[in-house]
Amino acid sequence: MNEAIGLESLAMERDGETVLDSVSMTVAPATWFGLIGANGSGKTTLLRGIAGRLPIARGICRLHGADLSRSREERARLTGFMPPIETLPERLSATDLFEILCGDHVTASGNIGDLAAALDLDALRHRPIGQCSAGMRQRIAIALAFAGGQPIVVLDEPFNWLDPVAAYDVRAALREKVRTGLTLVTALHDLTTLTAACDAAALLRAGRVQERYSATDLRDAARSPLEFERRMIAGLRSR
Amino acid sequence: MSGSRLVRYDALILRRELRDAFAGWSDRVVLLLAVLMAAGFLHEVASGSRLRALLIAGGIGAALGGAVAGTVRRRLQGFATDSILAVDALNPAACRTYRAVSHSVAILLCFGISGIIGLHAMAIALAGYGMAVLAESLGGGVRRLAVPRRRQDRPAPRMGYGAPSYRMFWRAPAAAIAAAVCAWLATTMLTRVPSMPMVAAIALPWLLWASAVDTQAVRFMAQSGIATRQMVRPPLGGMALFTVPYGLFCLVFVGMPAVIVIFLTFLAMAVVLIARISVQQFCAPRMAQILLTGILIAGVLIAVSLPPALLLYIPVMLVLLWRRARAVRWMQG
Repeated sequence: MNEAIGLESLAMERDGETVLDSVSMTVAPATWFGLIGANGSGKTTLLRGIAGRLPIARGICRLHGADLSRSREERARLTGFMPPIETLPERLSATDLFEILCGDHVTASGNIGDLAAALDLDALRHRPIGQCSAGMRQRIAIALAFAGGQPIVVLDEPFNWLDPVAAYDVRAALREKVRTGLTLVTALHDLTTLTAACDAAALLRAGRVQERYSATDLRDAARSPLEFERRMIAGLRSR
Repeated sequence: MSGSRLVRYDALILRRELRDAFAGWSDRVVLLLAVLMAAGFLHEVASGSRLRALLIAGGIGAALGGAVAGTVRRRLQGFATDSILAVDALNPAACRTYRAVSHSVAILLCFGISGIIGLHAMAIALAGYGMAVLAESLGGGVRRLAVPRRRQDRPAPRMGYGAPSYRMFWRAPAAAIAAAVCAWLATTMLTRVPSMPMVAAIALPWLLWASAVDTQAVRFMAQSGIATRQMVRPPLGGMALFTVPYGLFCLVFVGMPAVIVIFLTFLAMAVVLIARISVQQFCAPRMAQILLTGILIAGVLIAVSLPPALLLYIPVMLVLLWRRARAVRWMQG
C-alpha cells in the first residue's frame, strides 16, 4: 500500500474524554496534508497522536506500513514534531537544542537544509530563546521539527506569528521539501495555504472527519477561494 | 545515549539558570553568606536535642524527596508530550537513567544538608527521602486509578485546563483513608522512638503531597475570577480526609497529645497551602517559589526564636497575601 500515514477508526482520549473518534485517513508519501477545523475540533490531538506525543486509545495508526498504534516511542522516532513555543527553554539557544537533539549542530543544519534561509535561522542560532519574540520562537520551533531528519513531519499551525514575508518563504520552502520526499501534515486555519500548497486535506469537526479534499478539490478551491470558504463555513455551521 | 540526552538537556538549563542568577561576584558572595548562615542556623537549631535533630533531618529528606520525585515525574511527562526529546522520555531505560541521575544528585544534596546536623542525621534524612519518593510514586498510581472517567453524555467541567489535575484526587476519599491507615500502622510499629514528633513526621509527607497545587491551574482560576477560598477548599478537603481518620486512630491508640500534634501539623500545612495559592495568583511561578520560601523561612525563624509572635505573623501575612491576590484576580493577562 502506498501510504506514509494510515489511520483506521482512530480514537483518542484526553482526561478520560474522547476527543477524536473513528478517524480514518491516508496520507501518501511526499505529500502535504492539511488539517482544518474549528478550535477544539481535534487537530492538535490528532497531530500529537501521530507523533507519539499522546497515546492512541483505539484504532490503528500505521507509519510507512508498520502498525505503531501501541508504540508511542516508535511514532515519536519516525515523526518530526514542532514543540509549542511556550515550552522552549528560555536560557538555551537554537544551537544548544540542535546539539542536544542531533549531537552536533552541523547534522541538524543539514537536515533543515534550505528551510533555514526562509526561517532566517542564522540570525537566531545563538540567541537565548528568552530574548526572542513570538515570531522568532516560532521559527526556531519549525526548525526543530526538521532538525532530526525524520521522513514525516507534523506542524501545528506553523504560520502563526510569522510575518507575511516569512510565511510566504516558509511555505515555499516546505513545498520544496515535500517535492523532495518529505511527508508533511499541518494543522491550518489559513485557507490560502490549504488551497495553494496542500495536496490533500481533511476537515475535522467535533473529533470526526467531516469532509475530505483531494488535490483536484483543492485546485478547484484555489480558483474560487471565496466560494470554497463559504461552503466550508456552511458545512461547519450546519450540524 | 538517549537517557543522557534528557540529563544533558536539564543540566544545561540548570547551569545557565545558575550562571545568570549568580552572574556577578557580589551575587556569589551573597549566596555564600546565605548558605553559611543557613548552615549555622540549621546546626544551631538541631544541636539542642537529638530528637529534634532527627526530626529536622527526616523533614529535610522528605521535603527534598517529595519535591524531586514530583518534579521528575512532571518533567518526564512534559518531555513525552511537548518536547523534541519525546523518544527518550518514552523509552523506559532512558527514563530510568534520568530518574537515577536526578535522585543521585538530590541524595548527595540531602547528605550535604543533613551532614551539617551530624552523621547520624544522614541516615534519617535518607529514610525520609525514600519514604517521600515512595509516597509520591504511590500517589501517582492512586491518582491514575482515581481519575474519574467522564461519561460522554455529560458536559465538560467548566474549570479550564489544569482543572482535572487540580481536583481529581480530592474526590478519592478511599485513598486518603488508606494513607491514614498506613500512617497509623507506621506510628504503632515505630514504638521505640518517642511518638509525638514521629506522629508529625509520619503525617507530614502525605499532607505535603496533598497540599500541592498546580500553579497553572491556580493562575487560570484567578484569571477566571475564582476566589482564593474556592481554590483552597479542594486540597484542604483532601488534607482533612487524611487528618481526621489518622487523628481518630491516634486518639484511640496513642493518646490526646498525638491528636494535638496532628492538628497542629494540619494547621501549619493549611497555612502554607493558603499562602502558596495566594502567592501563585500574583507572582510568576519562579518568583512565587522564591517569595514563598522567604515567607516560610521567616515563619520558621519566628517559631524557633519567639513562638508567640506566630500568632501575629500568620494572620498578618495571610491577610496581606490575600489582599494582593484579590487585587490582581481580574487583571492578569
